[in-house]
Formats: sequence, structure tokens, C-alpha cells
Amino acid sequence: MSRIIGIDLGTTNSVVAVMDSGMTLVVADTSGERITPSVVLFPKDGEPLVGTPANRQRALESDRTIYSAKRFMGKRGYEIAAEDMVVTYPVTGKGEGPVVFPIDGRVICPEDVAAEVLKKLRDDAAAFLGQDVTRAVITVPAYFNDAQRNATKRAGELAGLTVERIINEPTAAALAYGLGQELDAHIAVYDFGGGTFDISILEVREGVFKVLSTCGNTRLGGDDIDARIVAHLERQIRQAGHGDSLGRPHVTARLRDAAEAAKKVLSDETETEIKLPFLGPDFSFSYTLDRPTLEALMRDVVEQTRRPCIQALGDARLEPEQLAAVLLVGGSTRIPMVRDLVESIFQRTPDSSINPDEAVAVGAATQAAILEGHHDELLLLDVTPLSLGIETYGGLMNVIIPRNTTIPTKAGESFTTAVDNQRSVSIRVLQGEREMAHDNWELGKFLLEGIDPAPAGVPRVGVQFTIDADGILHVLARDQLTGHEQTVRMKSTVDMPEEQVNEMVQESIRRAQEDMAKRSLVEAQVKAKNLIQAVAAGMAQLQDRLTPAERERVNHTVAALQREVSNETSARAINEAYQAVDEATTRLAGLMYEEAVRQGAAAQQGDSTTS
Amino acid sequence: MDSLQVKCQSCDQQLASFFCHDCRIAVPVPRGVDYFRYLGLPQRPLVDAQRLEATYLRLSQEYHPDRHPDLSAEEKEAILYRSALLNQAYSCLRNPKQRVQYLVELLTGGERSRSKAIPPQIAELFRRVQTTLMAADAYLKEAERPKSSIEAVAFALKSSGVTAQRESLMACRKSIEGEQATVLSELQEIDAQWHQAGEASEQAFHRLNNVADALSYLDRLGQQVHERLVALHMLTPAILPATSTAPMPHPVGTDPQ
Repeated sequence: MSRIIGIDLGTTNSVVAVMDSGMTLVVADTSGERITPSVVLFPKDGEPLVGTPANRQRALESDRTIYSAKRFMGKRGYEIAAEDMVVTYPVTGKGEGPVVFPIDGRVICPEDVAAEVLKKLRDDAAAFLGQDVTRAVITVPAYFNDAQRNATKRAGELAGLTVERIINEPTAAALAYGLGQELDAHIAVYDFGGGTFDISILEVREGVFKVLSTCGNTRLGGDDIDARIVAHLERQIRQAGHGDSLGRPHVTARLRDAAEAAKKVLSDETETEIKLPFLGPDFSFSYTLDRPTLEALMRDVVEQTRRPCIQALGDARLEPEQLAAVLLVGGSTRIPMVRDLVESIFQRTPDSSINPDEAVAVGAATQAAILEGHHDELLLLDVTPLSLGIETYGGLMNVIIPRNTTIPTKAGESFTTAVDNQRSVSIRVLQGEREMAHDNWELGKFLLEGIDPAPAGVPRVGVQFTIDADGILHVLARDQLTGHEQTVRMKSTVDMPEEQVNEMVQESIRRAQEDMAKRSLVEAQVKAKNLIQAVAAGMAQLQDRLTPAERERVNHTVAALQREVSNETSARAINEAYQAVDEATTRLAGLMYEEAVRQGAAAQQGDSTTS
Repeated sequence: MDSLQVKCQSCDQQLASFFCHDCRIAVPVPRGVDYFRYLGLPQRPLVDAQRLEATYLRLSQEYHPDRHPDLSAEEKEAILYRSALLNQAYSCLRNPKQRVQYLVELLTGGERSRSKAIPPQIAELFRRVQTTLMAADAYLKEAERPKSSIEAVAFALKSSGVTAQRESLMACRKSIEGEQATVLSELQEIDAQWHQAGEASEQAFHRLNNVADALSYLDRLGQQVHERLVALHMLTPAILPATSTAPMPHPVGTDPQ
């Protein structure tokens, strides 16, 4: 039987590891690379190009080179925000339909992209081991929902791999950390990668790695920081009067590469020069980015990791000082600002003894070895990251399995009918933490029919949820009087019949441009209206303290923005006008800030004299 | 350590779990096996925490699907259920509230007649906690409402803010924990008279039912207080205006000379 390999399928980079003669090793490919960029180029003819070669072509063939596809895994059209669509390749998806990338009339879905990366890693491992490989353990972000897990499993199948286990990335990293040391402690794993953020708290005892809680954000990562830098660079270019060079995919691709490179340099240096020759026909761009500017740009991205950490600590009922270590995983944890935040949340210097790029793959290979019967002292007990339940009468979410329940698990509940002689009940399976059903993710919907006529409240419908060791849900509904049963396969978008998908794709390609433009327009309008309000409030209070010229400039730019908002021409026009207001109100914002501090101090004094 | 005794239906061997390694089959769990018996623990109000933990770890190693990657599909399904049931049983028995409720349900053979009234000994605490929760909710709502920069700063600098809320919630938590300790000591007394004949046992059951109610309320209150504390902790102490990413001008008129 084939060996089992361990794969970290990342947003930006992927890594494969195997256990060989008792050691867990990261596999290098034929060019000696241990890390494969999760980038796939789909040429007009011939085989897709994967990894570094595809990455190299990105700027040249930006509209057919897919990166960060993991962001779209298991997502439905309506979940994709306009800002997510700002990639250099085409993305479409509408309503309940899947997200796809139409390239040369072909329909490529996120799973296909992942499958190409997986095939390459499979072949690297096969070459290393000298035998065919057909089995793998693949990691996913701990906060991935059911559909995202299913999509990952399906990507493995498309790559000809039997996915023996799906495990969570932070758990895998903890396993890699615990390898070869006797731990008896609570640890936290802060995993901030290219596109996702996870925090997990574990208890490690006698070789058992028990996850106590997990939290995260599946659309937050280094990509967002890159996007901030790109937007900043675009502002500089526009100010230099070369706005007309922007917006073309290969320019965006080059800006993205430059942004990512600058971000990396600024983890060690305090400033870096960005040089992009011939960005336009007669325009070469050069700009110095320093660390304080970068930090101002990315502060709110980094800050967004705070809440999940506090939630996870709270769910584990632990105080920071009860932890023995906080492990850092994922490339974004190299950023000093991220380390500072981790230090402030957990009140300790984070542990950076593990390789942040390779630990997850090493953990996956360790889990693979466990499944092969090695490491009989080690065992992972993971949890389900999100609560699972069904919708009950009144549109409420009725939780059947709460978040952070150890898996595998099963739980069931009985429900009844709401009206007399009801012959069927509609069961909507939901995942999420919100009180109202419609605020949660719908995993599937089905009808349990054949209920015997009876007054409301008499029939008994049992719904049983089982979560397997991969964290995937199986649902069984049973009429407890007639014994009529229905097992339900949860719908993830990939399960749709081929023709239906194709039809949807054709439709969405037609509409995609319109849709995206519309979505960005609405988002830009909302943003602009908020700004106009904020400025009006500030002007009402403080305009006397501005010079006439400043006042004039504020009023002028606000009026221009107002016009763009009501004209509804384009998101870009609104955003440019927004930028102008933002710049014109810098001093006003400063005054508002001072005023607020002054008032706040006065209020504090007032409080302390009266108390 | 534990006393789980199972007989393999195929080779008649005595086993310490519902899986026979020699026959490579999951042994059927007899009807009526409750969580206590599934873990080989005595069915009573208190469990030995260390023993529960050790048994759980041992049985996890036995039942976890990771330990059985090569079973037939049918046996895989069976082992998945063993493992799921183990996790369910463990999480119920380790938590006093859930354990006592479960025990009462077992003894009454089904649904526990939950009294709606607040147990008198915690009525006062209940009112105090509810008042504190309401104040905390009002504060959280105000804190999370989108505000102009000026309001935001004034709010953040108010001295009677987050610290005061946190302190009164902590005080509530302390009282709840105190009350929980009292109830748990009663549980110990009940456990001491467990399985004594006649009156005592019936009385013990009656007291157990009350303990179940009290623990249920206290657990809920504790959870509510905990949620507010977590939410308060999440409020970012940012005083900077959120509308602009532009750098702040240095305050004017601070010439040191």
C-alpha cells in the first residue's frame, strides 16, 4: 500500500513532508525548492504550470495565472466581496453558485487549482520516496467550515489522492512542536498565513494533543497587507500624475509582487526602495517605503487577529499566564508588528523555535505516520470550530453541537411539527455562532416527508449529527413514529451537476463585469457617505479653526465626492474623490483628535472630582 | 485503574474496552449502557476526576479512528461511534452540572421535571447578576456603536468605563463561584449517603434534584458573566480616529523653549 504523505496546502505556499526512516522530512523538489508557491498557470494549450515557474510568469500572463485560490475554496458566489475579486485573473460567481475562474472558455474551479498544486507535491514526494504515492493527509485552516473542508477533500481526489485525514493547521503545527519532547502544558498556536488566520489553544499531556478551543478568520492574511501596500502605491502613482498606467492586470501583478517583496524586507529593515521600471510607456516608478508607513497601512489588518485570540482564551477558560508557550506559524508572523501584538495579547515573548513555513507540513506528515501505525504514543483530539445546528420555527438557530466540541462526536435532538397534520418538515442544517438562522452558513436543506397526520406537537422527528475525525458532518433525520429515515449528504457547491454549473458559469460570465462593478459601486458609496457624515460633524464643530483655504479645500472636495456619489458613475471615481477628501481633512482630523483628547481629559477630571 | 469489563462476543476474551484487538472488531455496546458504565465508573453523583481523565485518555487511544485506519468500512463506522460516544460521555461526566442532570434523568428514566422557580438560596444572587449584566450590555452596546472620533475619544477616556464594568462582573463571578462551591459540598454529602437503603436514598435523590436545578442556574449565570468579560476584553482601547489613515500632525504650540 502507498505511503501516506503530509501536505500543507497554503494560500500562498504549499509544502509536502514525509516520514522516512523515523525522521519527518520536508521534501525538496527537483530544483531543490522546499516550498512550492500555490500558483498555477493555465496555458492556452498544454499542461498547467505549477509553483515557481508559474509564479515567474505571473506578471506576463497575469490573466491566466491563478494565485490565492484557497480564498475561494468552498465559497458561494454571494460570499465574495468586490475586494476579493481584485485579483489579476477573472473570477465569477453568483448567488448560491460556485466561484469559478473562466480562462479561455474553460471553467476552472478553486479545487482544480488546488489539485494541480497537490499533483506536483505528490510527484515530488513520489520521486523522493521512489514509489507511487496515492494517499495523503492534507491540512486546512482550523476555522474552515464544512463546505471548505469538503472542497479540500475533493481537490485531493482530483489529484488522485485518497485523503486519509483532513487536519487543522494549528493542530498540525503543535504536533510538530511537540515531536520529541515530553510536554505537559497548555500551549497556544497563532497561525497567520497568506490568506487565513487561526488561533488554537491546546492541552498536551502524555502524548495526547487535545484542542481546547479554536477561533479565526478564513479571509485574513498577508494577502490583505499586500493589498494595502498596492493601494498605497497606486495613490502615489496617481499623485505623480500617472494614474492612467493603473488598472491593467500586468501592472497590478507587478505592484503586487513589489508590495509583497517590500513587506518581507521591512520585517528586517526599516526602509526599502521599490523600483518598477517602465510601468507605463514613459513612466518608471520608484518609491521608498518605510516601516512606520507600512505599519500605519496594515495596523487594522493585524489588529483584527486580536478578537479571535481573546475569544479562544475565553472559550478555553484560560488566562494568558496559564500558557506555557505561544507558537508562531505562518509567514505573516515574521512581521515585527504581528509579534508585538501577540506579545501584548498573551503577555509573553512568543516561541519562534519552529519553522513557521514548514511546521504545518511536518505536523501533517506526523499525523500520516500515526495513521500508518507509527508513533503509538501520539494522538490528536481536535474540535469542531463552529457550532452546528438546525433552523427552528421563528428563524432561530438551534445548536445541536456547540463549537469546540471534541471530535468525533455525535448528538441528536427531537423536534416536532408546528401546525396540525403537517406531513413534512423542512430541515435546514446550519453552521455558525449567530442567533438568527439566516446569519449563519447554510450547509444544506432537505425535506423529511411521510409524517403521519397528527395534531401539532405530537410527531417526533429525531435529527442526529455526527462529525467524523476529518471534522465533516453527516446528518440523519428520522421520523420516530414511522421509522422513516433520511441520511443527508451536505451540499457543498462542488456537488452540483455539471450542466447546472456550466449554465451558471455562462450566465455569470455574462453578468460578471456588471455585477462586480455594481458591487464595488455600492461599497464605495457606503464608504463615501460615512466619510461625508464624519467630515460634516467635524466641520460643524471646528471649522473656525481652519484657515479659509483649508475650509475651502474641504468643502470643495466634499462637494466633489457628494457629486460622484449621486452620479453613480463608477466606484473608481468615487474612490478617487474619497481620497481627495481624506487628504484635504488631515488637519481637521488632527484638530478633532486634539479636541476629543481635551474633552476626554476634562470629562475624566470632572468624574474624579465628583467621585 | 478503571474497572471497565467487556467480553468479546467472538473470542470470549475479557476486554477493558469495547474493541477486541485480536478479532479486530468493535464489541457491541449492550442496550442500556449509560455514560458511567461506558467508562467503567460507578453511577453516583461524584466521579473521581483523575480516574475519569485517565480512563478517557486510555479509551481515546483505543477508539480513536486514527488508531484504526485499516479496518473494514463497517468496523470503521462502528469505531467512529465508539469514539463519538466516548467524547460525549466524557464531556458530560466531567462537568458537575451536566453530570448531575444526566444522573437525575437516568434515575427518573427520562425527562427531568425541571422546576421553573429559581432556587431560593440563589434568588438574591440571580437578581444582582441580572442587574450587572444589563449594565454591562448597555455599556458594550454604547462602546460598539459607531461614533464620531470625538465621541469615541470621550467615551474611551471616561474613568467610569471598562474597569468599573469589569470589576462588578468579577465580583459577580466570585459570588457565583462561592455559591457553586456550597452546592458542590452538598453534592459531596449526597454522594456520601449514596446507595444507603430506604429513606436516606430517596431523600438523597430529592436533594440531588435540587442540586441539579441550582447548578443549572449557576452554570448559566457563570456563562453569561463570562461572555460579558470576554466581550469587554475585546474592546480595543484605540483612541485614534478610525476614519483616516493619514498620519497625525504633531500637536501645535508645544515649543519647549
